[in-house]
Amino acid sequence: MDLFKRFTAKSFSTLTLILAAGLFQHSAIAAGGSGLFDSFGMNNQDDILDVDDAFKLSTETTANSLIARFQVAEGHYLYRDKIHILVDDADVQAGALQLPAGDAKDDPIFNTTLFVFHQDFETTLPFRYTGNGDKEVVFKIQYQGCSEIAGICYPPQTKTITARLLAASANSAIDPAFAVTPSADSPQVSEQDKMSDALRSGNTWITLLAFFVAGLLLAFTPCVFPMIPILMGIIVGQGEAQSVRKSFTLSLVYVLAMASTYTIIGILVGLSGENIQAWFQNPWIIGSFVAIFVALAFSMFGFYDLQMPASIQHKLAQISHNQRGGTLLGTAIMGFLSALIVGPCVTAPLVGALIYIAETGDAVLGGMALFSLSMGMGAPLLVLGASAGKVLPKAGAWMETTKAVFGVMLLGLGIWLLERVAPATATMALWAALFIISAIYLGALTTLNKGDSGWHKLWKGLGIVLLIYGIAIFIGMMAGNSSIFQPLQGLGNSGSSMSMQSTSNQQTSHLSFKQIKGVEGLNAALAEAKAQNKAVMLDFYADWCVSCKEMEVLTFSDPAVQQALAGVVLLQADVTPNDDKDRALYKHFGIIGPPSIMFFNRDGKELKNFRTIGYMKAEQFAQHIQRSGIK
Amino acid sequence: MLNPKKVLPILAILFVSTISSYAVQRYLDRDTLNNDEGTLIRPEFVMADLDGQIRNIKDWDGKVILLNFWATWCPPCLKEIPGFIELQEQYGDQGFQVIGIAVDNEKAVRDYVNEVKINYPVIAAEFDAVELSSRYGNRMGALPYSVIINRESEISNKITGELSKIEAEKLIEKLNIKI
Repeated sequence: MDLFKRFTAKSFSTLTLILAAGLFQHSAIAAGGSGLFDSFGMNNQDDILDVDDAFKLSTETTANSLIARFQVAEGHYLYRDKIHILVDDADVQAGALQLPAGDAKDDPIFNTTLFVFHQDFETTLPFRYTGNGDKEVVFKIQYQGCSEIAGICYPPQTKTITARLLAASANSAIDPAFAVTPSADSPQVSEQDKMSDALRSGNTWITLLAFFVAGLLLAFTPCVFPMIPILMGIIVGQGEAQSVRKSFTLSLVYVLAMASTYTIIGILVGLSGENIQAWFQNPWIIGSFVAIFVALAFSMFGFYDLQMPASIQHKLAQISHNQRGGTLLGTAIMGFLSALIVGPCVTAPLVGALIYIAETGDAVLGGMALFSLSMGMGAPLLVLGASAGKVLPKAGAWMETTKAVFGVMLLGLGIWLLERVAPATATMALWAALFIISAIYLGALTTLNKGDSGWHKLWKGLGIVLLIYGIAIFIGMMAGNSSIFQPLQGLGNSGSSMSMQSTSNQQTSHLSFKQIKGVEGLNAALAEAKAQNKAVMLDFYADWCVSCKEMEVLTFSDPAVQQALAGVVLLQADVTPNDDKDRALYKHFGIIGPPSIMFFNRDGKELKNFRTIGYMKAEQFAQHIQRSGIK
Repeated sequence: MLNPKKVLPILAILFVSTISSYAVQRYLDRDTLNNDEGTLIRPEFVMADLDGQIRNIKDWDGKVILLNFWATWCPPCLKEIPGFIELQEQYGDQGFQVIGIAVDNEKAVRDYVNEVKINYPVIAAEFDAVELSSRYGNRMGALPYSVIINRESEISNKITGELSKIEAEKLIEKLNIKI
């Protein structure tokens, strides 16, 4: 219970708000003072709400998310696409920011529809803290908005939030009280995010396509496939000659009725999943589900059959048979009932799919996925309906293979679940074993005989691909990698990673700035460079200067820039403290402050025309150096 | 040994004076930013414009300058730009100069400048532009913000919010630009 207390304490950790932009207000030099001609009320900024009153921000952190609440003053709005929460900490993996849809704002000037928030809203950044100890983590919240009343926009805002995160070990605790606390599911939230995120992106289509293909495969299992022509007869009604159109319409109604039943099941499971999800933290629960998957897989391999109790199946079948074929309503009822009669081949994959959906906790995705699955299952029936019954392949032993494919998929699901509790090495080994063993079943290691069919060759080819992939995963595991998608990362492409390394070495050796302070420091460094007959670049830098950082990260790291600066003495004045010496240096050059870069020729004379202020792209900057001709 | 009874009042005085001097400083800043009397020489700045050319505000000394802070994501800013283009076109030869400073990323600015064919120099500077605008008296960093500078390099007007062509003409007319 101590753990539980710790957790609640953590959720309401104290926050500190610092207005980053406020730094600049300190350095605001006495400016302003209008002329005598002000005839407009507009210049009076007192009529404009202060940005912090226009957009009031409050935040809350939980173990795995940062919630930012914005109160938007009337007549003001924030841009949806300008809201960002950044966290720069190796121990924090941030998920996708969850934002409400916002209001569409058509702007004739932009010619596009923008999304904005006129009302109060909140946004959540899910994250996963993997650190070992408790730690203060800094989050940066950025936003930008306008006032419709005053007809102005505010400059981009950045607020810094410091939250204290507790050790990650607390998150993987087996304490059941902890495991069922819904907001404690740190890894799952990000998974869920991925799913709901996937819904908005193209990944959903891949998920749905996968379910469709799975459905199609299900249709080719031995307990479904032979039923299709019989089913056709029942649906359309026997003995009567039917038009292709009518038979297609009827099979479509049947399939849609079945699909909507499954869709509802998917939604229900998805909804319940919101609670179930938290359990999927607990190694014992994960372990039991993995065991279920293995059991389901073995049933697919034909060791035993799993199905609904025969009595229930029989009853449902009877009701179904009492429906009159040939009518739309009767067909729809049959379709609906058929979804409930779950045969031995379908049970295991369906349970697998449902667990998968439950785990995502996403009702929309659940519904859509099961709809796709049932459309896949119904597809052969639709083809049969449309072709008046001639287009299906012959039933045969190959259908057992389809069943086995499901077995392998179920084992895969089991390993996928296991990934969250077992070490990567173990799951990598399991993946490798799964692929290699499947490959052998596909005949990867059996020699082909002369008379073998094209199918044999195809399977063997596929088997070899799987075998190679399995071996690659195995090697990757031995090398300490943990991704099954890029098992050989860092191994195979040693050439390019070497070159990357050498670039970064170059960076450190080339762009190591010599720090100077004050005018005397500068003069001393310049005199030294002159004695060595070297040109000089002087960079004004401050921690609070965004473009200085951009220059550092984006421009100075560029090989072309480094090359252009080879042999040039690099001086840096870190003016973060902004003290008297720093200000004397500004005055010396007649500048406001950073960012500013100056070049001096070999005689120690500044090339005033080549001063740069603000951020410059690498390419541009390299050209700029070339043009200055300091070398 | 220090007597805590003596140290405490000293600390208290230090604390209060720090706070109050800060408050006074802020108040004075506010005052200078808002006073309508007297003139102020425009602060100096050096920045690279979109063409990579280094621009110093001094380069335009002797001209009547309309220094406009804007951004592509700011609808009221975009509304006033066509008017500025016309002003530059009509009064440029009388020594009138519009200069745009965008609180925005370079690409967005470049695209917009090309799209509406802005005929005056534009500097894209994001965060540094916010700071510069505050040095030009834009206390809250609101956009659009425009400053009119006379031929003596003094700031004669500061305008927060949209500045229409007609209003701008009235202001520059007083600085001897013939309308």
